[in-house]
Amino acid sequence: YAADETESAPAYTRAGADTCLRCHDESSAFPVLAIFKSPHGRAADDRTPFAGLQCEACHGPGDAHAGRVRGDDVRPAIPFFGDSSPASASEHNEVCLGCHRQSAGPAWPGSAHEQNDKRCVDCHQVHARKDPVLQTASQTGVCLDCHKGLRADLLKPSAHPLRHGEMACGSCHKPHGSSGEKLLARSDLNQTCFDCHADKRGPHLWEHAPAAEDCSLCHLPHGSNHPALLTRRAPQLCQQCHSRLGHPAVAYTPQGLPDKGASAAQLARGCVNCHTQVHGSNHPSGANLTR
Amino acid sequence: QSEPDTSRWRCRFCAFESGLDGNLGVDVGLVFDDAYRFGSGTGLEDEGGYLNGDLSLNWWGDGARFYEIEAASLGTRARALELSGGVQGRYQFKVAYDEIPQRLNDTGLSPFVNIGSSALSLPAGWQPAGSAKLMPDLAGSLRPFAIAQDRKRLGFELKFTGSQRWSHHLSVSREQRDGLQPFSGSFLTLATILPAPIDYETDSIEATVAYTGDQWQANLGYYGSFFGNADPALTWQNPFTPLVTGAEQGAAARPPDNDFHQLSLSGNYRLNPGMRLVGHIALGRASQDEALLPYTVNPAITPAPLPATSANAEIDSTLLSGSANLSGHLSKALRFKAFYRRHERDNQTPVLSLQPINTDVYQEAPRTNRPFSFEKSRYGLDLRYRLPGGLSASGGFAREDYRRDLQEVAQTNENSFWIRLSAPAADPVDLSFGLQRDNRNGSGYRPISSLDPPENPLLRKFNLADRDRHQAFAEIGLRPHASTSIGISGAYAKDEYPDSVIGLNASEERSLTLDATVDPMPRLSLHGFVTRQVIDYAQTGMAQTIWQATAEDEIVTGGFSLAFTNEDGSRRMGLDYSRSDSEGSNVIAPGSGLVEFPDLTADLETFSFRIEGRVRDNLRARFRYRYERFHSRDWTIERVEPATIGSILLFGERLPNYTQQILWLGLVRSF
Repeated sequence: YAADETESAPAYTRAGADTCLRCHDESSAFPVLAIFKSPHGRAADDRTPFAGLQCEACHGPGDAHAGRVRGDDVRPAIPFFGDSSPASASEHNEVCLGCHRQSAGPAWPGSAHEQNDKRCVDCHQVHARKDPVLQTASQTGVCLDCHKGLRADLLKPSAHPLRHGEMACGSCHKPHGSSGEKLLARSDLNQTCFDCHADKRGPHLWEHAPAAEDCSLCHLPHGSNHPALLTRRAPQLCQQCHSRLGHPAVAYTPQGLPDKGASAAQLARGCVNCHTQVHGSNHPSGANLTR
Repeated sequence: QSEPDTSRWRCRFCAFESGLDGNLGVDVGLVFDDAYRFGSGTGLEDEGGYLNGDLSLNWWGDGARFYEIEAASLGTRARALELSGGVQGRYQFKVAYDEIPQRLNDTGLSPFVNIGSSALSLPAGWQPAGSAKLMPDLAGSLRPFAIAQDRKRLGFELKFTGSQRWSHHLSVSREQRDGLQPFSGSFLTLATILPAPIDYETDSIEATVAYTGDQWQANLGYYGSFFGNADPALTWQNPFTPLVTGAEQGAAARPPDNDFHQLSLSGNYRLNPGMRLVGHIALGRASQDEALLPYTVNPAITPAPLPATSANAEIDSTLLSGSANLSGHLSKALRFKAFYRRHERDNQTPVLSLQPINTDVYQEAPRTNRPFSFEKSRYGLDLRYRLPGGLSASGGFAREDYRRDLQEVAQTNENSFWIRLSAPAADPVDLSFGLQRDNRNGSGYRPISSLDPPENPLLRKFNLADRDRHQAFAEIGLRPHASTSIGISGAYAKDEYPDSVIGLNASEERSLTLDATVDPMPRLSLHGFVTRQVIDYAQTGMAQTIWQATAEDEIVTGGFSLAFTNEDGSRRMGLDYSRSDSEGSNVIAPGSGLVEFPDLTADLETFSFRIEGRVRDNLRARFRYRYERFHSRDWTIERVEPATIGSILLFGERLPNYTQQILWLGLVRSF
């Protein structure tokens, strides 16, 4: 039985990478030589493929794939990371995690991408000199390959500077899983926002509870039709939650536009023309968020 | 499986790199026009010539020692530079510097003579008036300034990989933000929009120790963030005739210096090949003890003494989360996840009895601050079952319990159910379809009694109100040919607030995206997309009678790109085009009949073209052209001059519309 098992186990090539590179040179459909410009191609680091089983460290035993194919026979697939490789997403990922479990982090199991059978190579380019998903300027394009609907958000009148490559999805999200919801980089949404907007953190003497609770109650972080990534314009944005007797309850109409009434609650910054401390105030007279 | 015989593995064809490798690019550019808003993210707001450069160099030595330099946009205010090095597999360091410019508008006007200061003064001899329209010195005193800010960040990282099991990571950074932002200085019914200085500095430190064992792994981390504001107060001279004696000057608090510390421990444990437990705990504390400003700077009012010298504000946060992930237990096809997450915000800020002076004008009734705490827990199950033929069905349930104090609703509970069907492996067509239903109920809405006047008792704040949420999505992926892929996806979400007589009644979002990629020949790639998104809101308010308002944002975005490289790689070219048309409509029914606001529109059109060709073995020439047009209509800004609203002295800025073109011509040296 043991002998049968040995016989049926897939075999490695006889010459390792030299076997593979006879076909997979720069003129092939799958040029691979850029891997020698990448961290994976450093044989001096004994953790890398080229300090061990070379191409087959990741792709698996390749003797069958590299062997001769007769007539109309179909070339056997390479076990891993080929177009027709039979391995599942989790089996593919186990190959990567064999070395990269630490960098994937403890939150990978059960995370959104893992649950949805995303393979590491769906995002990462192992054979590239620089993996685009690890570069701030090119990372967003990789994410948008799947999250197609968000491409439009980046072009909205108010948006974070992702389209210029000044930020990337990874500025706020951890694609390998996180303790936060929506793969957020910090433990909750507001803490994630405070990474760059620490001036909003307070804690303020007078809090505006929705701002302290959840920035996304008023802001659309991926892009908005309204200034400052707001969901809507004031005063109607504010009137979703405020209807006290007096000016907060008024039905503001186009009569408040410049040639007519020129309403203080509608033009310029709307309610914020006076209630400027919408994120909270640290002034002892700031209860109305005006100081 | 037996060990392979590697005795004949020579790696003769392996093109191992050593020494220097990479590119250095230098460009001269011409920016055709002044276009302030275009400078956001690009740093190219001014017309004229630019010298720009980028760099991507690696040096590999013996023993896996390496150094890398990455630099981009070196000739602009959006420059980024990164230097890293070390010995791969043992340690590495990184020093990074980058700048992010934000340019909103440079057409604002203000009469203050010392813009940029945190003590804003009017011209000598300023004659105040009761209305901005009547200020005799205003027209002659207005001076332009820009609403803008620059972020400059310098960071250092160090990572040790002592073994396959241990790693240590340390990163520290300092970010400076400088610029001007609008801030309102009000005196009861009169206000002045002020150019408030931004002079912020945020230091961050993050340290992690990670261990990876055979069955488990863990990360222990510390994160600290320290914010400093050079201008904790803003004072300004009142341009209006004071409403009361002594109100010639106002003072407001600006963001206080604050600290945040967080300790976290994350880990997972593999009980057996099909079961992993994941857990995370984080304990954080945010605090600030910035000295409180006086109740008023009005010398004619004698306020009560402050009850404390600072708010001494402190918020403890606790996050506890965990999940059990099982696969192949009850059935090989079944995957199961049970999760729990609890987040607590425990506000320890002392409750102070305060006697506010309203906008430096009059003594208000005593008030106490209301330190807001909440506790949110969410738990549920996700199941996924693989069906024959590559199909999979998944579904789940979650419940969220949200407790808040000092709010209108003490507790809300939300139940969520979802299902999803997908056929990811059924080439050439992939299908996914999902539905989700959420239902939120509260423990009872009790308006806050201390407000005078009170909120309308019929109001329901939308984040606290009972809510029904419906969501659906569908995605179709077609791969009619190995070189062609087409994706169509749609999403729908609707929130309804059945008990909200006043407030937000409903919101709805619909989107449809078409995306196609075609590679008609080797080294030629084409991509196109179009997305239409519509967001609707419906709300009611009540003055003498109930009024209704609806708002709709419709955004249509599309674009295409092309990339081509010739056979020997000596020539490359590409072009990109995109266009986004946004339209926002607002309709209000103030009692009888409907009244429509003018549309808010914003159209952005971009086009870029690039071509690069080899001049010599290690030298390439490149040409790049970029066109961008932004055009908006916005009734909150249009025809609004500094004195248009008599009671508020505004900036009166113009719409930041622009058309911009840029040419770059340069050389790239390869190493």
